[in-house]
Amino acid sequence: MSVISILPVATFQRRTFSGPTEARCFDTEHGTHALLVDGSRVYDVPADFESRLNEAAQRGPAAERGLLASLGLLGDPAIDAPLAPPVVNALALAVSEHCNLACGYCYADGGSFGANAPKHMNWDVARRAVDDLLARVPAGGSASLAFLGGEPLLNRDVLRRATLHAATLAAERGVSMRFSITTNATVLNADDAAFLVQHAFNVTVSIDGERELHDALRPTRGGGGSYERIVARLGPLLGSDLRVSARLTVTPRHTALRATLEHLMALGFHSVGFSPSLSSRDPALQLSTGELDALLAQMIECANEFERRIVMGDPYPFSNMLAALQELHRGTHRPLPCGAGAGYLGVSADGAYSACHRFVGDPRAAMGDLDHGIDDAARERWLASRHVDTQEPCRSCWARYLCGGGCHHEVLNRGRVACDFIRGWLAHALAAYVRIAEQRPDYFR
Amino acid sequence: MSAEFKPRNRTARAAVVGNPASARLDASVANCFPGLELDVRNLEGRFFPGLLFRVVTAPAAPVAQALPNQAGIRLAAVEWQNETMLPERSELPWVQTLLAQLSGDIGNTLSDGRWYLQWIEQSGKRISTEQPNGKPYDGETVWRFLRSIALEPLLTISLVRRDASEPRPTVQLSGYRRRYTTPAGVIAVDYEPGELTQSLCNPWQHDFRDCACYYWASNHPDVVMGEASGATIPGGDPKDPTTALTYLDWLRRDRSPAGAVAAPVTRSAAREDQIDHFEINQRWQELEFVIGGREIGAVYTPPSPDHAQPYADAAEMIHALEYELAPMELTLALEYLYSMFSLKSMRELPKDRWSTLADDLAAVRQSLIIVAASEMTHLRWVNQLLWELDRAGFYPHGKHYAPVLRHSAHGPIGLKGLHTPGLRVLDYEALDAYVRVERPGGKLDTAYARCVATLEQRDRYPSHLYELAVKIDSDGMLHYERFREMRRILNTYRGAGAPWPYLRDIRLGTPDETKVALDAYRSLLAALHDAYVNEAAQRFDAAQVAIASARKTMDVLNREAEALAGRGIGVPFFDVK
Repeated sequence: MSVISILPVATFQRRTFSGPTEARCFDTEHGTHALLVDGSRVYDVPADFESRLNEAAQRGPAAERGLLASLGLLGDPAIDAPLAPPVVNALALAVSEHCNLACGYCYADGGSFGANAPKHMNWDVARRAVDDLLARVPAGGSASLAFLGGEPLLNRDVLRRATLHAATLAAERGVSMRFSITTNATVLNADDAAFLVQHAFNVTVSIDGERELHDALRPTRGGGGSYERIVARLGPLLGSDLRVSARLTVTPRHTALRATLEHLMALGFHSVGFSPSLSSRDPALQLSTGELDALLAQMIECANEFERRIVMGDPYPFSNMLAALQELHRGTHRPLPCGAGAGYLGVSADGAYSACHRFVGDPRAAMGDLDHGIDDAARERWLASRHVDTQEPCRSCWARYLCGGGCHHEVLNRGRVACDFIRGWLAHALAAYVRIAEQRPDYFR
Repeated sequence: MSAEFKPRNRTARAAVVGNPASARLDASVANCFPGLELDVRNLEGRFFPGLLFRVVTAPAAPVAQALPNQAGIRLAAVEWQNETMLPERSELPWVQTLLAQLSGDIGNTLSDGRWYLQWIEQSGKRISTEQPNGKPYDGETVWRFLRSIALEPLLTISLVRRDASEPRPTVQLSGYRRRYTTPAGVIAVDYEPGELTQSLCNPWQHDFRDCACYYWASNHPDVVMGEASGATIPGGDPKDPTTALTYLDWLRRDRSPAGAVAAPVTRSAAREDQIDHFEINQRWQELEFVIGGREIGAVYTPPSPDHAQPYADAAEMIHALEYELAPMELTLALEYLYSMFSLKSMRELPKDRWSTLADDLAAVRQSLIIVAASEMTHLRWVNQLLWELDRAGFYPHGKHYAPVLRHSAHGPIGLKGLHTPGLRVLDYEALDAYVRVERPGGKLDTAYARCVATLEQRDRYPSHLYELAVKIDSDGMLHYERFREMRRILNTYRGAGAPWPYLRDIRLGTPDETKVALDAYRSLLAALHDAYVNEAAQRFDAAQVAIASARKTMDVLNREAEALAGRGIGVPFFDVK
């Protein structure tokens, strides 16, 4: 991988953020509130708190903590550092490093992860990966197996055998097993749908919006569109009890997100979520800073509609907002953006472990292989070096424990380009959290 | 944490230590110090802003090395930094003066040596903490002085350093007395978590376990029905009769299903399987809520409402109350009383056999009198319902309330008419008959349910009548369980064969033999008649006189019936028409 050397990473990392680092105040019509960074705690605060906080922030983080301590708002740190590697209980199998689509922004380079010849995972590799996973999870615990690619259904035989094997083994060992798949749904058949239903898969379908938009962004290798095919094949799944989510990669071409969101909801997805394209093979499909500002405005428009509907008691399954509210209510605080390299690893077609499914074949995040086992020393190094408290400019950002530092893959390949976007989104979500909690106290449990 | 910071999300709420906002002093049951939930002396510990005091009581037997004159209100700390009454930016002159004193030289002076409260002055009146002879009052005494301080006006206090030579240094400070609660009644945030309880010696759980006096702590269930899980019959009781009818010890140690065995009948037998002092400190949360005599697990599902058929009109209901329900209550009360007199007294029990009999019989006698008294109460409520219906104008034209104090000993009553009234000794047949007549869903039950359904029609009847009917309807619920329990207890002696070792050999007496008892019973009915008539006419003083007379007569009747029973003679109550 040579991407890192051609992207101007350093420019982004030098950016500094000024302002309080231990708390962030925000106002709503219900008063002044604050997010206390440690433990992601949300409080109503007196109106003069912001000025006192800013005054302390001038003197540095220690003074901020002193202020919080004097108010009885500082406890033991909620985040551990360094982190001990937890048990690996989730694997993502790249059962097919091949794809029948040719999306311009794909992190996997059409599924092959930059390799010359696309590969399928053989049954032996899949079986050993499943054995390895379930040997680690104690009885009574839970484990999950994700199928990604490439397009995983291009290797449906191994996908199914691995699923059955894992289900049998898990039942024998008293482990609760969950399955998930991320698919482009172009080769999904009725038989596949029945299989996914039978094993209660969480299904994520990559789809980029209305037909024209989608077909332009997610063409087949032959250059044709894939929208009609997907919609035709989704029928049995959307009619089932499965939770089928749509995942939309937002590119500069998405200029009417709310209409696109509602279009996908109308197709019958249980939830629809947006992921900004931050690190794309085709630079034209990657969002610039200015385009991220525009995206934020569009996301907020969707969030406002979400808020209006929720207050009225209507469902509006916009998953970015659902997730943000849920995490704010729970006070989710994370030292890392995701479980990659912690409880979650990717397995490549040839049986190599990596921090996650995006790092297949990438030496920066190699974590051992099936022959030699999981490299726990590498995981430990990874967790220590990726801890958000060691990252710049994260260390001094109020959103650090909500964000966790941003997707490792995107950050390592392009740097932190979306910080203002993330902060802007979280700021909006914080205020929305308070407003919804005031108007619909029953919404949060 | 200052009250101005209100936690919103879960992590913020979890970070709050100490009293939740719902902890209110007025919800406390502490009568005085140290109280049960908190030691109220600790409230006065912070009566003056910026200072923390402790109430010191002179030890009854001081050790030889103890310093003299320790008793009083001793200064424990000068704490002005986080004092909510002394915000640094306050514009109130008294706050700024006090802050300057406490954060300056006076604060330094007070941090050295043993300082005590010397006097308090408010509204020109001064209370000294020293007796006329110069000796200090005990801390408990001064604490009572402190409790008399008003919130306003400004207060001046003097502190004296006791471990200094004469003339002993003193310090005077002025400020307002603390308000111990917020305007919402919540304990002020100035009190640290644990501060109000730190001087309690004994957790309240111990009182809760052991208290047997007429005190709140003794007001907990003793025996309960187990949680109803699985299938239920209408009314909410479990379909499984074992679960439905086994009394469990509410304080039982083994709270697993295996521990759901019938509670021993006596306190001493029950004691060893109950959770003990140390355990109750740790496990009191496991004690279940009890509603309607039954433990409630995670979720309480109210029983589905009865769907009884309302009476066609008030006249039909009044007729049922006069000719069925009131007579049935009196009949049952008399049957149960007769049975109760058939039980042997402690003196009559065999000394050499049946070591558990005395306790068992005490339990049965107690249950029987409770049920009989409950029927008597119902009789009164039925009469009350009748006179209230009359007062509200529901009696048929030309008719008015007259007390109903007759029994219905002629003809079957109860469930499907299966109960034939009769004065019986409490043998196993009688127990079976009582279980049958009190069975839920029987006539007794449904008759009141019909009254409730009738009076529930709020557009037709005033609400107080409905409430009265509900009271009767819901009171009878435990009679059935009580008789089942009596039968279970007495089954132990079934193997002994007749004559049953717990029963007196009783026959119905003749009118001559029982003249005193029957006369007393007649006087009792007359007194009750008088009482009901007066109460119906709202002549409550006269009613009270009559009720007092009825009570006295009941004593006479009780003594006489007991004496007769001891001689093998039963009172023929049904002879009184």
